[in-house]
Amino acid sequence: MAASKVVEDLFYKECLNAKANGLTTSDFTILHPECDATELAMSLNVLLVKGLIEVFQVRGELIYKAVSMEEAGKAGSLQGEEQVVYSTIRASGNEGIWTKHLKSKTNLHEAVIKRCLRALEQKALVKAIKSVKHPTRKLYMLMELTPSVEVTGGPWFTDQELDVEFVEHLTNTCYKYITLKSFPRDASSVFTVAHKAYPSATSVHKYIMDKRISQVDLTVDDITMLLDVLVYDGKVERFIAQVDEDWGDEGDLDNDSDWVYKAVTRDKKAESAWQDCPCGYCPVADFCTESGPVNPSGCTYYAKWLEF
Amino acid sequence: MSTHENRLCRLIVREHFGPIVEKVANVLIRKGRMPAGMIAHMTQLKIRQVRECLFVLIQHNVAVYAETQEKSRMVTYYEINRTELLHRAMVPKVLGYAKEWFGNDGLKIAQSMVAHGKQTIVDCMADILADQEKRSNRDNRSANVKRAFTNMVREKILIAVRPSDSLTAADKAMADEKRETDKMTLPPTAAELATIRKTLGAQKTALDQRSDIVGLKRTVNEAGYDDFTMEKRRKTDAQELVMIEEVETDVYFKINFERFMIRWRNMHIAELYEDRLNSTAVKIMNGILSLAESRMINCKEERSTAVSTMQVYRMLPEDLNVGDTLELMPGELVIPRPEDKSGKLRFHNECLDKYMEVLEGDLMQLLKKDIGRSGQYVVDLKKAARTLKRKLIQDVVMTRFGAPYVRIMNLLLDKGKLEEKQISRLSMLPVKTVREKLTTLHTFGVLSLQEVPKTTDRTPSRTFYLWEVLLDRAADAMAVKLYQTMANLRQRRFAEKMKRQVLLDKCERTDVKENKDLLNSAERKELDTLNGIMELLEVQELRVAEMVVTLRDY
Repeated sequence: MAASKVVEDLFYKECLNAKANGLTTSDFTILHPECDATELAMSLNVLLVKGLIEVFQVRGELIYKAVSMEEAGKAGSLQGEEQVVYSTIRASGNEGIWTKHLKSKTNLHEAVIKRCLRALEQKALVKAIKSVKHPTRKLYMLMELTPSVEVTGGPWFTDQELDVEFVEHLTNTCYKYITLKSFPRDASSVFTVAHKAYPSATSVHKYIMDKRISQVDLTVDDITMLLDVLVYDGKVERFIAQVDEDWGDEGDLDNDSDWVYKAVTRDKKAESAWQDCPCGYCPVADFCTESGPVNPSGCTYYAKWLEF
Repeated sequence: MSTHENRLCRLIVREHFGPIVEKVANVLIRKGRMPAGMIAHMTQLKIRQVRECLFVLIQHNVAVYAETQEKSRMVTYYEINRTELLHRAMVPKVLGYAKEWFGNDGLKIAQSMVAHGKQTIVDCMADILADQEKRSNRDNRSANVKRAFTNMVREKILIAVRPSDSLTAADKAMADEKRETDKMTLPPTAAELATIRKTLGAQKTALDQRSDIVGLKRTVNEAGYDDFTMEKRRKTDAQELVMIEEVETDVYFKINFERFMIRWRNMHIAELYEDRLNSTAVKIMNGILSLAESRMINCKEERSTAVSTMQVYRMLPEDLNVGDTLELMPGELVIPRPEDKSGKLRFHNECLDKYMEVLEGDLMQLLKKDIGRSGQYVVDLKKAARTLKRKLIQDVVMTRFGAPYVRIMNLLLDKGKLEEKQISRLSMLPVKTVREKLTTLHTFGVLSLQEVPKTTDRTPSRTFYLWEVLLDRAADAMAVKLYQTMANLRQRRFAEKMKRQVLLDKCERTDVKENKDLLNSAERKELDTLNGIMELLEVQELRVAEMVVTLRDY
């Protein structure tokens, strides 16, 4: 019995050394020819029961991989189906796994899976999260992991929903910063072509981070997204900063930070002549005809508009 | 040709020519071209009345006709010239600018032209001077009016009308084509026909681009006798002879709406720079465009002719503030701030050079250096027109719906066709609201939808729904809505007048006209209200008409 304990420890150690590649029994016997085959088989069984190793089948060969002591401690207390479910969830990493997929992977009955999940949740081993991509799906992942960006949607999402106010606030701040840098102080002046100090995404990012405007950690890519939105709003324009021609050939700085941003106008309110009369907002314009029930001669919106 | 457009056309005819002409025009607008007998039948008018109405319409360039041989007899078909008719909605603005560009005489001439459709210089002057009683006054005025008229002809604000202008354009083209094909012995092949059409088209544009103006003749005057100081002079040899341009007396003229459109378009293009840069930039751009204007033929040209910087500098006002409105980098200017006069000019010109660079570097990219020729600039008119249209639609969407809608519109203009989810991601708006906004914009006519089925059964769940903005289609959709608004405003104007018909009739009485005290205070108050309402409605219609011009004619 003592001998098998030795073999057990030895095998576990070798498995740990082999790391992700795993270990086969033949590998082990080459490394330790002194071990007896029956003893090895016995110790493998013990290890499997303890949950210290996992077994995989690759091209007809059985490969053993070590499981760390802590995890084995958690999983070790689990039995049968629970353990299967637990390890499947663990395999999904920080992406999480949907219950439907869990079912197809484990080949267990739905009721069984439900029971196992409830048990695992009670033991605080797994947690349920919601994905931004599929808001109706319930995903499971290990308790200690933080969900990936794919699942949470990045810094713009709180509780799986786009935080519109937060986005709005930040874009406005970016816009103010860019406007400040786009025009000279004097309201009637303009910068010449030689002016080069228009802000890039990197400098806007620096400004936002320095001023601690956002509680959330933002990357330059996140800021670029915001600036693109400003471009679509028609508030700022994006162009590639002109590199001095003398330097153009030497310094080939072809990266994203070459894009700089400039506010289109100082401050401008959109106005349209059409909206100055009731027809511009009329909700029943489609029914309005020359002599129908809705007609301009007796229109009440007009009556209000033409009051003196 | 929507029902709204038809209604507007009809209401314009009603206001300008009265209810009987409206009946005739209505039939032509709705049913297309037809002979006079047919019109009489459909309007229930006498044939004589119909002929008179058509006469009026043709005199005002609103109707055109075509004669065709049908078996043994000639049949004359009549048709409405829609463009000309819709341009009549802009008459108040035309008059306003005639006054601004050519003074009071210009206004008088334009008014007379609008009232008479087409007339010769002699008729026009007689019309204007009819109220002048003293002979000495008359001679004085007549010289001024003549000068204004000549200027307007030279600047193509008035153009000569030929008898052929009253024929329909399509019939003219067909007649020309027939003349060419008749020369051949065999019926033409498709390729031959295409060449014929091409050469005819080329001839037509060549005719349009001809620099000399129909209806102007040059005469030689002796020196000293120089009525028109503004006239182009040319010294010949040793003798002091002056060439002056004179309007031919037997040529009929009409108002050239197209030229007004070109000028307004140019002003709008220049104004684009007001918000983006400053008013100095606008003035410079105006200078560039007005130099190129004389060579423009219509609003649909690709680009303007090249203008050299020297020309621009020369025509800009001396007091234009260029030096102080540039935020210069230290050491950017070669020439220091000047003391003496020549230095001032050099400094001025260098600043202008900088301004040209700024205008060229602007991200709208409307002003470009002419390739191959240094110091010459061209304006990309097509792009400018597109920018104007886009801005107009954007402003309408902004005021009517709000900023997120503009974001979606611009996003789609930039990226082409996109799906709901992609739009949501790029515009940083939740899918739920994006879906709602897309539908709103779609019903408004700004967005178009393209379905791409993944399978042959075209199930909605297995179909991509791609949204896009087609600017021209959006402009058309919006123009139709604006036509409706214009017609509504006009109809309301008629209705408001109709409501107070008794009062208006009283005002027209001769005794009331002579003595305003015959109106009591309530009536006078009512009259003021009516005038206020009329002004509001008319101004509003004109403003909406300007939007339509941007969408349709630029």
